[in-house]
Amino acid sequence: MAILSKDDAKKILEKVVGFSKADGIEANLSGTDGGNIRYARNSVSTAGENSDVSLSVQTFFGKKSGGASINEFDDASLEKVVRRAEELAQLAPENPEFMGLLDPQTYGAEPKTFIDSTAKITPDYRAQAAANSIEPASKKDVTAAGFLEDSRGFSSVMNSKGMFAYNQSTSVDFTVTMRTNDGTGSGWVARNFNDVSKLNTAEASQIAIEKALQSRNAKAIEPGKYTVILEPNAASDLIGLMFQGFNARTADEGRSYMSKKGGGTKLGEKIVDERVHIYTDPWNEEVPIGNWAGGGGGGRFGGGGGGGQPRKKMDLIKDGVVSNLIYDRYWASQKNVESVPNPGNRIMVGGTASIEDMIKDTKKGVLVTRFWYIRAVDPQTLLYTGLTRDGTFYIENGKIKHPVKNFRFNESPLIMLNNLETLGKPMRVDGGGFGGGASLIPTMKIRDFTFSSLSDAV
Amino acid sequence: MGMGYEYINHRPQNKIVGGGGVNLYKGRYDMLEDAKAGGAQAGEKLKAKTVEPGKYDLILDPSHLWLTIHESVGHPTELDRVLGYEANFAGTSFLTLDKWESKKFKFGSDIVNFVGDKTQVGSLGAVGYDDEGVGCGQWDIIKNGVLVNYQTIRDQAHILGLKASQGCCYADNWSSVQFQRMPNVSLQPGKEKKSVDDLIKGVEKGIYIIGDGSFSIDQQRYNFQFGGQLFYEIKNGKIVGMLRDVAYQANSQEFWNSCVGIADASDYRLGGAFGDGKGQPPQSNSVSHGSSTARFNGVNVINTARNIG
Repeated sequence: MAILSKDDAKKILEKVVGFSKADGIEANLSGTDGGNIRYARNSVSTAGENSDVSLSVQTFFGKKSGGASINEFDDASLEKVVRRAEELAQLAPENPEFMGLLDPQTYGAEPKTFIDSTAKITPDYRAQAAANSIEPASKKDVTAAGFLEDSRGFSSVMNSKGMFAYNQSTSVDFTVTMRTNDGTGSGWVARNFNDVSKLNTAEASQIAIEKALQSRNAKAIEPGKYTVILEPNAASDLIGLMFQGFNARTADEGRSYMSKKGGGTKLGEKIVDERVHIYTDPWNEEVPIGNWAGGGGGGRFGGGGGGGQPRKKMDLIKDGVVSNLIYDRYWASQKNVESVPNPGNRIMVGGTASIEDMIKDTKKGVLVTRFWYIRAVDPQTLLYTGLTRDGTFYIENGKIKHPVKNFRFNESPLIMLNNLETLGKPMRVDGGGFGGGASLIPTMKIRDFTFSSLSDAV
Repeated sequence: MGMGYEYINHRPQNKIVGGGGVNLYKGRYDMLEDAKAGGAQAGEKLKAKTVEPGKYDLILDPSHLWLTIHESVGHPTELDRVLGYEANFAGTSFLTLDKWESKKFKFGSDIVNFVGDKTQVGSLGAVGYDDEGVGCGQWDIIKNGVLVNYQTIRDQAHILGLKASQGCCYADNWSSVQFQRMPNVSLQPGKEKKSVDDLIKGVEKGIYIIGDGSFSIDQQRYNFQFGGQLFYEIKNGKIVGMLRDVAYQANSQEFWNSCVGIADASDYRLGGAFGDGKGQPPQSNSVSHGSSTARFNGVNVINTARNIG
């Protein structure tokens, strides 16, 4: 039952809205069929599937709102969840930032977010995918620990003003860590697609095995400022953190790096190297995402339906300049601008150079496979700390010279993107910032990246 | 109905005053008093002196130390990590089985004692039985500074020669598989009568840290960096003012071996988290970590200030 068709979802939502006695109602109906397989020590540890559909209802009396959810869909249950939401709304204090419900919206063409082959993944497929990763590892005296997770689902929203939106999507995510059995080398790789036909766990695992073997017996080099080549997953982890500051309200209220000294925001100002161009586009073929956004339309108390706002193609940073900030409907009304919902994907324009090309072009530097445990140190300067992991190599005169011990870094993605040397080929990566979804992020070469200490971790 | 906070009743007897006159709470919390103090402290912090990087003796309040315990003691003593089951996500552990087998691996100084406890009253991780039906209890993990045990589930108990699991199996949801999760892991108070003021008195050049802040540690739990909320400079045994831009970096084993003083049981408090993450698909777990204020000598402090124009 987890994937309801557009018509079936609409029928349930119409019933829910019909039960309402409140001034207004918004109902979100979504479901997911998910499956996964996990392995470690070269054997499968857990595997399973789950299937769930959930209905979430918000009702409104004046500026008071209350919500309830349920996962039963007979008429009595649907009425029960509406009554419960109404009861809670009557008990709630008024929300001073309440926004009314959305009118019916116009959406663009449906993005290709649902791929049949991904929706048809079976436990047998997952087992074979894991075997294709484990077998080559065990032949090389390497231990594999990996995870493959797939999902197919739908989401829909309707309100008492007649607004209705629906989307179906699929995704598959694969990661594997390969560790040499002597414990001195470790490699990692990640793949993320909405079309499983693009996934080859054997090919991906081979990269991680090679990294593990090459990273054995890493040498310590002095922490300090280095030119780094960040593979797309490493780059994305830091670039994604910038987007939290794109909330217009936190910028206006002086609570983020996007706040300008003395008041106002950095909208329209150049904040990074002029080659940086990041935009969102629900219809991008590599990282398609639903053409409408979920909730969050009200102000700081979340009240007031927000689900169903149309997404559009939009620049976030162009020529290094902040092009757009995100305005929830309340803050947009206060600032007298158009509301801008969270984007569902992020696309950073890159170049044509491969990682190998970028290594050849580097006199001295450090190649970083991925980062780990990144945490904010100072939100005003966007300073973050974290560590390199699973494949860190020293480059000299255009070649990887030897593996190096992992570093802790203390760096701001803003400073990093001002120290940009080269952008390479973009790759799809999981996550990467606000609004969920995937990102297209290039490999990037950065000068003067700050490593502050060494770690003994392998 | 009101806004909710009106229903939180504090108990005056639960309030204690820390170094620098900071209000701290043991048990029930006075939210309004703390909110007012927080405003004043934020103002003071804006005017505070930026820290000079270097080695300092740190006096760490339990409201801060719980997180350092969680990351540098709680996680590396999870036996599934030691065995490699978390290698692809949370990571492995530097506390490998050979270190435990040696019975002399010096994790911390002689005064460092950690217990695992899933029954501690008032803790976030308190349960009578785990998700395998095993009765929960308390056990030593670090005794007199030496690694003596880990955290186990039924599958793992035999590896350590235990007759029964320690009851550390937990799933966060109907659709999650239960696996080894962290119990409350707590630093035992000092055995000699010692107050926070006593600890501060002996420090020539130090920083007293209250509250948790930024936290990061590597996948084998060697190298960590922690921030905090309030940083008070200590000179010649006295607090002389507030500092800002403070974070400290250390290696877990070196850090716990630099522990030279722990306040007595009268200062013991719990801190904790509702969302400790682990596993794939990720699961969350609630856990507490208790301690009294403790002193660590010669820890590397960095300055976190940056200029972005």
